[in-house]
Amino acid sequence: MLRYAAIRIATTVPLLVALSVIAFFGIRLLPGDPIGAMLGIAGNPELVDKLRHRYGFDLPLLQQYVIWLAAALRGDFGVSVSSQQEIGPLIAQRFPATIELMLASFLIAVGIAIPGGIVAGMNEGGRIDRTLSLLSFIGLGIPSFFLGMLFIVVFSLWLRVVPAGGYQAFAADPVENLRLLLMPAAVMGIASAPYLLRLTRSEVISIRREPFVAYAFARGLRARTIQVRYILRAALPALMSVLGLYIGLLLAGSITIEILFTWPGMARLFVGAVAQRDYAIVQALILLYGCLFVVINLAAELAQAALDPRVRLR
Amino acid sequence: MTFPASSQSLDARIGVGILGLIVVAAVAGPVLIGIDPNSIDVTARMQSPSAEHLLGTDSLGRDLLARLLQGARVSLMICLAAVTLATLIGSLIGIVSGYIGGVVDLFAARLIDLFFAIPTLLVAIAVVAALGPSILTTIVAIATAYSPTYARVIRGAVVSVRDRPFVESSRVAGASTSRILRLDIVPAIRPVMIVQSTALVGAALIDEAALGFLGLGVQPPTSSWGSLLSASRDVLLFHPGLALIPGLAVVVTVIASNLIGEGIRAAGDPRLAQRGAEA
Repeated sequence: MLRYAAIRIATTVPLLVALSVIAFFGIRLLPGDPIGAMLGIAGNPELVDKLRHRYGFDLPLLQQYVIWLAAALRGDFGVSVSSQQEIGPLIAQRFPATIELMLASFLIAVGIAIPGGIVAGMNEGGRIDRTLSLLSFIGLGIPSFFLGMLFIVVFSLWLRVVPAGGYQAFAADPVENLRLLLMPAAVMGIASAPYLLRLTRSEVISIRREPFVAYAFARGLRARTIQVRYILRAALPALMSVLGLYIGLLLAGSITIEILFTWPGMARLFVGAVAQRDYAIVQALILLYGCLFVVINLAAELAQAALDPRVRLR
Repeated sequence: MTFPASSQSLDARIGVGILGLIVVAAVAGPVLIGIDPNSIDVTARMQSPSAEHLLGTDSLGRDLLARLLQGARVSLMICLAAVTLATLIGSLIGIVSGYIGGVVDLFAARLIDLFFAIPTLLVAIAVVAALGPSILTTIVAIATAYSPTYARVIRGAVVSVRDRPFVESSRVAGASTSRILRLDIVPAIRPVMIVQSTALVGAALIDEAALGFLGLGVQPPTSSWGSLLSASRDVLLFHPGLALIPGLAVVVTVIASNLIGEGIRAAGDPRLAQRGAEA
């Protein structure tokens, strides 16, 4: 296991380097620079030169990259070109809200999709399965932010049970924090559950065909025992790697949901920076989001390997 | 879905029917209703549906039905262009990397893996960050986001046919690489390409809507389903119809194209109909 983990972690490093190259050069390769974008074509050439020098845009690109990466590794992402604020603290301030929203929606989605997928898979072709399959097929066609709009119209406009958006820090008022968290988290969880449900279902179906399950039935074990001790347990390793990709999906889904519900996470910073072409923030967040995906997927793969010797011995 | 093959093809036919209607509406609709989708009338802002404006008007008094139909043209066009571009780029990378192998393949495979880990919407937003929002950027952004996944599947398909006897025999007969690619490899993987491209249609529509919703897609006053959703965001609590109608258009179109996609997949792989849905 240790050997497998070491190899997996070692192969992740080049991936992270590639990611930093993409984050840095992808944004820079294109014509124009941030100063030009900031001042517009009307910018006075002297001022442009002065600002370029101040932000280091007059150095060779490769040198800029090395300086940027070295600083980024220390958590220093530079200064926002548009607001002049330090980017590190700006992100750190918003990070907890994004993570809170993701965790809550993750729990909701798993709570719906794993039992749903198991029940559907166990009753393949039956009425429950067909209903769940139909619902998840429709669900896959509904973008999360549109589901959010529907929820806002129903629960905030018509029923008036929850506000349409907003945020309260958990430390300041835990109850209000959870009340405001409820709707965006439910929307993200429900919107992404179909994906997870279908994967769980097909995994359960393939395991149900295994001889050891038939044998367990032949021994007369209770259906519940078979579901939990045999099928769920055998499905767990594959579900782990699925969950890794799924969390990535959630992080992407959180972008539109945060905007819709005015949730003060990283997404608003990101979308605002993209709209204003604030390159330093965009680079920092692409790197951060990318690292999160890579690390989450790595963790999922390691969990899968820990649960399933076949993976690590392959 | 778990229906047997026959009802799968029925589903697909329903999908074709719905999508066909939407395409006809997009092509003929704007001409038929004859209202300029960009004509502003501040005296008629935020109206409810009436005989004059069948779906009401938006915050600038523009006719929602006219904007919806115009938006259908733009959204479907973006979707078609993005899927075509992703198909071209993805197949090219997949075929070259899968057939030639070696260092090229190693490099391409790692790069594809990297992109595979990053959700498509994020890649698309990064492209918008670099190019600035516009219709063309939306197309490029969606195509860039989906090319790696596409390339990954195509590469796998190419590797699985590369050393099959019919390819070997062409090679022995002295066929050039380009001839083998054109006459042996591409025809053999064509079913995979068709399945992949169809599956992309729904995803591309959702991403167009998401980019538009974030204000990073098609820019006003041009209307697309995404930009209509974006414009409706601030007035959601006062005039929900402005959001629900274009949103519903996206959902119906995506479900229709997913029905077609599932049908094609099931037709290409009879085992799938028994085994049920897969990732």
